[in-house]
Amino acid sequence: MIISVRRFEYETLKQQLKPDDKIVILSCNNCAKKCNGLGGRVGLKALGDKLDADGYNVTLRELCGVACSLDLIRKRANEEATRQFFEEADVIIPLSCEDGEDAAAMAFPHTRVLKVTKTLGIGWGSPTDGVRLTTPLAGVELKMNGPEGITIDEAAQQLGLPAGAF
Amino acid sequence: MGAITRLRPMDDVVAELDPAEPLAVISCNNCVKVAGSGGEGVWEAFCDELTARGFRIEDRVLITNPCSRGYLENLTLSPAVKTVVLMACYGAQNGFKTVFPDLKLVSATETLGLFVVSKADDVVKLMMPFPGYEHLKGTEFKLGDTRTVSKGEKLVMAKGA
Repeated sequence: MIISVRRFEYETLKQQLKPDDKIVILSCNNCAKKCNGLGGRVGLKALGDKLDADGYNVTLRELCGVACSLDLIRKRANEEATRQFFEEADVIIPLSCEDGEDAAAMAFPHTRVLKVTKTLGIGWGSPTDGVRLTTPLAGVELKMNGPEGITIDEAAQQLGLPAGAF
Repeated sequence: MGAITRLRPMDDVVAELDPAEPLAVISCNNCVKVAGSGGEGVWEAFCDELTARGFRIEDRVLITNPCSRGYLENLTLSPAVKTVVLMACYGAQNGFKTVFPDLKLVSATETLGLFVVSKADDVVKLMMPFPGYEHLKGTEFKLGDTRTVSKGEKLVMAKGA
């Protein structure tokens, strides 16, 4: 399970958007969903509702099963139900791990794909003990706690970053 | 999804095992399939190889997604088993250690980093490495075989992305 947090707060995200941007939110429904609702339906609704309330033009809220699968992202560019939204989008906001962000940038090279998440590494998740980061990526300096790892909130706190949904 | 693994050489795995002890061989059936380092097909062949080398496998278990630790919490192993060979990423391995702290865990895989995958391009690409594998960042492997580097770059990021 990939563990990710956010790079910044909502106000910082807004600074990267123009008032007339056509925005697609692309939310991963796998690992990111389990990262305190960063992605999945919860993360998608949270960000979509905030942007709508602030008058931004969110043209599509799209849920993707696994955002690190480039084929699933490309499918959005070709299917009738979604093709036009992605073609016309000025901005895509992936709510996924950084691999999902990279996959979106590969699939839509002419569209601005924002990087809003920071991926910290992998770990495990449990219905009783929540999601735990155990193995940080190269360059991610975090104090670990053996196989028990640390929670997403603890990791975010160590790095001074926000976690969960926008 | 997301963790890219590679099968360790069988001789290295076997060197950590006691031929007199019965084993469990447990495999993830998710990300490792993308890498060809576990899952349906690879896991059975791995077990067959161990058996051919004289090891007794008491339990053979295929788990959908062991980094979701609930799968492991519901797992019952034979009492005779004291050593488990696990075909999964480090995340699942750590989860396993918390559920079965008294069992000896031998990893059949090494975890290189995180991937983007494309079945259409027959490629799995290492995007974000773990410590020790930084030199492999950006490497594209043949889908289902992370021992084979794919020719040419198929998954390309737009400049400035």
